[in-house]
Amino acid sequence: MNLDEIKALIDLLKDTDISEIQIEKEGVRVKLRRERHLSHTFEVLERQAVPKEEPKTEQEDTGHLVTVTSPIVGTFYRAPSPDSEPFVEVGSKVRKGQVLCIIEAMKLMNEIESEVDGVVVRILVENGQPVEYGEPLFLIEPQ
Amino acid sequence: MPKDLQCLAQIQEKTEFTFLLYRSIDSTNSEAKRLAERSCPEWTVVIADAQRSGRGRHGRSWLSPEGVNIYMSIILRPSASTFHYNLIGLAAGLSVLEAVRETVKGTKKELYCKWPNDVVFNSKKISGVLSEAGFKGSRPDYIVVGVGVNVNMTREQIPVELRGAATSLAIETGERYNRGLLIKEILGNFRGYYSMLETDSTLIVKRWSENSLTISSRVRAYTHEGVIEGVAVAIDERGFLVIHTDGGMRKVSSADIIHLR
Repeated sequence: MNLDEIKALIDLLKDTDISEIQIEKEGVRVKLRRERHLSHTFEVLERQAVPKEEPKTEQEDTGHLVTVTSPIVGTFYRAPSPDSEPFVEVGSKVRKGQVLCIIEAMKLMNEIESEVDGVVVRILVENGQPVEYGEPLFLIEPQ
Repeated sequence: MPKDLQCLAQIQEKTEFTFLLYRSIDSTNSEAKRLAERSCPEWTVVIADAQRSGRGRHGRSWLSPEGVNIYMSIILRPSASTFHYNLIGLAAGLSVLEAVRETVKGTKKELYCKWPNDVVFNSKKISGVLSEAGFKGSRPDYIVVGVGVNVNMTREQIPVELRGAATSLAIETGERYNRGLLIKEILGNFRGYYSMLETDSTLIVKRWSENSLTISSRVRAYTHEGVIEGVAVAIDERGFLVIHTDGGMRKVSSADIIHLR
């Protein structure tokens, strides 16, 4: 979700009586709340990435998991070439320093390594999708 | 050592470059990455007379016959927090373009950069750049910049299906060139641009744009998310290609670009 879409949301709310709205799109959750005494004032309370696959249950505790985030803006690839096997799958055991994915920008192929020994619990981005700086890519359970 | 690469020994004495020459290797980028993983210092340059499996984007192969072209990979370890990683390939492409322009001086020539970092001569590709970085956390531990330049390759050495898209300096000018001297020119240019990447990269964006075939052209960009068609109007400060489409401006970081006529 980009800035324009958030602005559009704010505009949409302006002429309504709705005081709060929460929207989840492309793995990003945005929550807008209007303060009654400050009409037309909105604050973005949350703009956090949420896993795309299977919705998170209340009981799930991900606090111990290591989140691998994108260090750059670019395109996310799970394999070194379209004909190759993915670097990792959910359930793959990884070692510190092992390559998890490639993020391409201007034909610079950035290999992103795991910083821990562990197991890949979740892959948060689909192959070929654009990713932003700091966007979560993988959840890894350290071992 | 091939005769035309012998001058590299003298260059090595006077500069910070360390050249590692191979008669034949799988890929100079692969070797440079292996060396970089083993703490090889920056400005080590892997050069091969032939590649057995030269690589391009997404595992595509790079034509690498023996003794005629430049296949080299430079190991870099940028440490400045302000370093403009994204522009490193464009800087390498621009370095090749300016070196070639100097080398073929006087020859009738149409030399341009094609986004992001190819060099085309009379509308056919003579050079490609493939950069690979190994990230440790939020910063790259190393960047390998791989440069291929078709120098003395003959038309017969290019497979028939590629002859419409690829060429060499020798094919276009009818002359043979000393690869060592061309390498020296390219690396000299690149060293200068590398310093700019650490501080102010405005000049790189400006020079690249001035020499670009892509800017102002109608292009079709094949991205993973689909095809984008429109007029390429600029590159932004990160090197992204800005395309003016019927639906508005789009910025592209990774794509295969075709120039439409």
